[in-house]
Parts: sequence; structure tokens; C-alpha cells
Amino acid sequence: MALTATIVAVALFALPLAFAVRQLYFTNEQVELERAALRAVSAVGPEVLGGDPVELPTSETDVQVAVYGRDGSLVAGSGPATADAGVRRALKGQISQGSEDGWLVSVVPVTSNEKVIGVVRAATREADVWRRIALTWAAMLGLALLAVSIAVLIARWQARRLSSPLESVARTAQVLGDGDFTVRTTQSGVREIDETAAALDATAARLGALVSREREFSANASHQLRTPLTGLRLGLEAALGQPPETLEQAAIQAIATADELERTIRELLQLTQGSDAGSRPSLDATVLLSEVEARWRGPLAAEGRPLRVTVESQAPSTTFSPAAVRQIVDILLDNAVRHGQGTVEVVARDSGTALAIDVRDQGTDVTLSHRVFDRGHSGAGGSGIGLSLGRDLAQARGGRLILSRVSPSTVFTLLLPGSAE
Amino acid sequence: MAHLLVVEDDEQIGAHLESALRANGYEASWCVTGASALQVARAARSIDLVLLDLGLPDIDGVEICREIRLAQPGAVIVMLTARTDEMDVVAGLESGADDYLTKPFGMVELLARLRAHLRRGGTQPDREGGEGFLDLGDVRIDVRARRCLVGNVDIVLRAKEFDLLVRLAESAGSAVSRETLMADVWDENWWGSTKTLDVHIAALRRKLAEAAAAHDRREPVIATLRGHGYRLESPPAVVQAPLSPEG
Repeated sequence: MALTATIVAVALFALPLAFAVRQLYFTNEQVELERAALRAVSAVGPEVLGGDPVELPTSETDVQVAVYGRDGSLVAGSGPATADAGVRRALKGQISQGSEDGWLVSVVPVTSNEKVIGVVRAATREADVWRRIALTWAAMLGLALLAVSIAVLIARWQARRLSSPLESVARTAQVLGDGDFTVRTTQSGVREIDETAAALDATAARLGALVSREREFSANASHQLRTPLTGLRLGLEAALGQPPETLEQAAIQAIATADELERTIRELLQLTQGSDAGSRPSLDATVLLSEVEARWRGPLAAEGRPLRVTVESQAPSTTFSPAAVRQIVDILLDNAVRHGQGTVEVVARDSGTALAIDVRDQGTDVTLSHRVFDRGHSGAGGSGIGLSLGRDLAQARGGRLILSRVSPSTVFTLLLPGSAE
Repeated sequence: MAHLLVVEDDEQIGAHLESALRANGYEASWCVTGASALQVARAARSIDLVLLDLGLPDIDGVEICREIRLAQPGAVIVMLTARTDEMDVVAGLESGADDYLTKPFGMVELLARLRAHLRRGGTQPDREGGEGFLDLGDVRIDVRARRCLVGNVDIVLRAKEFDLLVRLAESAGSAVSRETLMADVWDENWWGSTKTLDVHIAALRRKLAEAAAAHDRREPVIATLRGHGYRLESPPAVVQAPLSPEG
């Protein structure tokens, strides 16, 4: 990822630069040629006409300099034997520049009394220019490769820095999955990873507590159930084949034992449920719902729909996670905004042992069913994943999310188990 | 003859319930699935009471409660639940059920419960020696005709809801204990959870509030007295003007 980004950045920067370098080299070369030609012009003078041998000044070895007469014939120097296009243009009195047959050419007219008496042609191979350009490009490419490899090194180093704590978290999760709830992560110094690790530690601690409670329950349950069951079985076996009065006595005894067993099961379940409820603070429905009101008043008002939030004074307290309640109520309000009609009411009230939060809108749709909670359901009242998630969130913590009424208004009710008093 | 619907997927319990109910003078139908129960409930005939097992294989019990309540507004729904989780019971009661029995239950207990729910006219119109009308501010009860009016418009109350309102209205302004309410409206020998009282109070409050809001009137307030019972607040001290016909 980092590598790709670096390559793109370097390419974006280097490609226009490479083009500019090429342009610059060609322009420079043209200027050089023109200068060489002008030097030659001042050297040859008007004697070109006389047909005398011309002494050309020495110049760079890779530059050809030639002098042509008015008729376009080669007088001196090295160059094509007959006048080419550039020479012909220059004979008309203009400096001519261009490239011909792989040569970069500059032709300057020689004038005497405002008449063109000949021309000087300076040329160099384009291949030479290209060679120099290629050298520069190679240097640039080298620098680019250096930049990319530095980026790769930095990216590797960073990845190692991030991945080793993440691998440690993954190992911890693996160990946790294998059933060791005592495992804990180590601090890495990267804040986000440490937060994840802390959440994993909390999960491990809670799972550990849960599992040990369940184990305790199984042990208690099997002990406390086996004893009366044994008594029941022995009593019934003994009564078999006895006279009817004894049999009846045994049946009465057996019913009493069955009741006793039922009571034992109930007590054992109470033991396992909610024994950690005291460790969390109780949820403040008034504060939570006023936050909800502040969040949703705007979006509803935008559609001209009022929002009314009420917390009844006798609403019982609950230790349900406020974050989960907030999320579920948001899901319900979002659903009411999308699929409901008219005024939206949120009411926190007493439902016996539970705290009930109703989210009501004025829509009526008797075809609504529990299918609105199905994942991916997107019928008239469904919002795909939202309600399904809400129901899962509620049930994971011992609550319930139900569609409680469909007519004359639509009511979703979130039921939160009340805290023991 | 009261018509009962038993919804129970366990063959043994279902068959046993059906025959026992018939033997005790009820007309009983038995459905094994939630879908067939809803079909019966949606057929035109009115059902007096539904015994509903919450753990049906095809449809969630809470869902069936709401659907039956929609199809049979007058029926009493008693949930039969083996679920030990109290929240399932709460969810069932919130979605339309009136009462519940936790498995295992005895037939004697079940029959007593049914009798209490189906008993009609728990209050006598002339007990207070009045002319059979009770005024609760904007709401007026015609005890003899078993009608409850806001202005001239009837509030549709179920039998037990009406009995409960009358019982509270007779003692308006004073607290009535749960035991008294259960004894007078349901059965003197009620045994087990009295959750049905809270369910009926909640329904009554809701119906009164909805009717009052629809006609722009004030509903009588039923106060909860935690650990004791309920109290219907007295109407305001001002002399009540005769209810005007325009509502």
C-alpha cells in the first residue's frame, strides 16, 4: 500500500520533469549550434563569393560546420553536398533551425550589403543529444528507485511496529478461544491497539466469571437434583407390587418430591442469573432519553414531525448497559423516521419487574410482523439490518425487543430487566 | 358455553388439556401449531380464552400473542410457559397476553385460573345503593349497561377491565389493595402470580388515555401504590357539569 503510494507520487513528479529535461537539452543544443554558425559567419566574411578556400574556425568535435554559396553548392566544411531544406530557407535571408535526417541543424545567412551571399550550416547528431538526455534520465531513475526503496523500508518498519502487538492480541484471542480465560494482553504503546487489547482483557475476565459461574451451577445442580431424584426412584421402586394403599401413598410422596425438585431448579437458576448485576451502576433513563431527544429532535422536526419523550416517575431501575440502550433506541427512532408516520413518542415506564421503553409512531400497518426483525428483511416496516441488530443487542444482555402493537399506532417495546431491589 | 382454544405442540399435554377442559364443561379446540391457531383466531367466531404455549416450533410466542390480540380483541390470553426467563413472560404480557402459568402446573390450578378469568360481572350494580352510575370527571360509567363513556362515546373495555374500573371507581380516592382487587374482580382464592392485575391496569390506563385524548378530555388517573395496590384519584372537587352532548 505504502509502496504503491510512493511509486505513484514519484512517477507524478518525475515524468513531467523528464519531459522538461528533454526539451531543455534540445533547446540548449539549438542555441549552441546557432552560436557555432554565427562564429563561422564572422570568420568567413564576404570572400566566400570569391571561391577562395575558406578557413573555418575549429569547434566542438561533434558539430559539423559547412559553408554554401548563393547557388546552394557546398563551398567548404562538412555537410550534405547539395543544399537541403534548411539551407534553402536561409538563402532567403532567415535564420533556420530544425532537424533533418537525424541531425539537428542551424543555418545562418551570410550577408553583404543587405544581400545574402551564402549561408553557414551547423549540425549535430540528434543521437548525441539523446545520449546526454538518457544519462540524465538514468540518474533520475536511480534517485526515484532510492526514494521508493526508502519508502519500502519505512513501511516495513512501521508494519512490524504495528503487527507485532496485533499478533500478540490475536494470540491472546486464540488462547481465549481455547478456553484459557486467565490470559491477558501486553501493552504495546499504540493507543488504538491497547484499547482493543483492553476490551479483549475485559471480555476474557467476564467470560471467565461466566464460565466459572456456569460450572458452579452445573456442580450444584447435579448434586441438588440427584439426591431427591434418588429418593423418588427408591420410593417408587419400593412401592411397586405393594398393595394399592401403599402405592397411593408413594404417588403422593412422589408428587411432593417433584414439587421439591421444581423449587430446587428455580432456586438454582436464580443463583446463576444476574449475580453480577450489582457491579454495574444503574442506568439513568431520564438522562439517556434526553440525550436521545436532543439527537433526534432535529431530524424529525425537519420532516415536520414532533418528538415527545416521557419518563414515568415509577419506571424501575435497571443495570442494563446504557450504550446498548442508546443504540437500540437510536435504531427504533431511525426506523420510525424512515417507515413511521406522524408524532414519535418515546416513553420509559414500568412493566412490572422490567423497565419498558416504548417507541411509538402514528403509522398503522397490520401486516407488520416479527419478520421486521429478520436480517435483510426490507418490507414496508423493515430496515434491513437495524431491527435485527437491535433485537440481538437486547437479547444478549437479557432484555427483549418486541413489536408490541401495530394498530392504531405502531409500537416497538424494549424490555430491560429491572435490577433486584 | 365458553369457547377455549388450546395452542400446544406437545401431543400429550395438548390432548390431556383438551379432554380435561371438555370434561369440565368448556368447549375446547386444540391447535398444534401457531399457524393453525392464528387461522382459528382469525375465523369469524369469537373465542373467550386462549391457552397458549410460548414454546411453539413454528412461530415465536410473543408474535402469536400480538396476532391473536389483533384478531380476537375480547379474548383472554393465558400463556403456558416452561421458560424460566422472566423476560419472556414480560414480553408476552407486553404483546397482548393477560396472564401466564408456569409449567409444571396442576389441572386444579389451571381450572381455578380459567374460572376466575371467565367469571362475569364481578361487581354488583346496586352494591353501593346508587342508581348504577359512577362519575369520574370526564368519564362516566353506566354500571347496569356495562358501558363506559367519554362524552357520548363508548370506550370499548373488556369484561375484566370494566369490572376493575368499577371496583376502583367505587372506592375512588382511597387505596385498594392488590388482594382486594384480585378477590373482587377475579377470584377470592386466587393462587400464584397476580401479574394479570398489572396487565389489566396498564390496558385500562391506555384505553382511558387514548379515548380522553381523542375527545380532548382528561382521563381519570390510576395511581400505583408500590407494594400495596392501586388508587383511582377522585374527580376534581369542582361540581361536575352535566355532560354536554356535543362532546
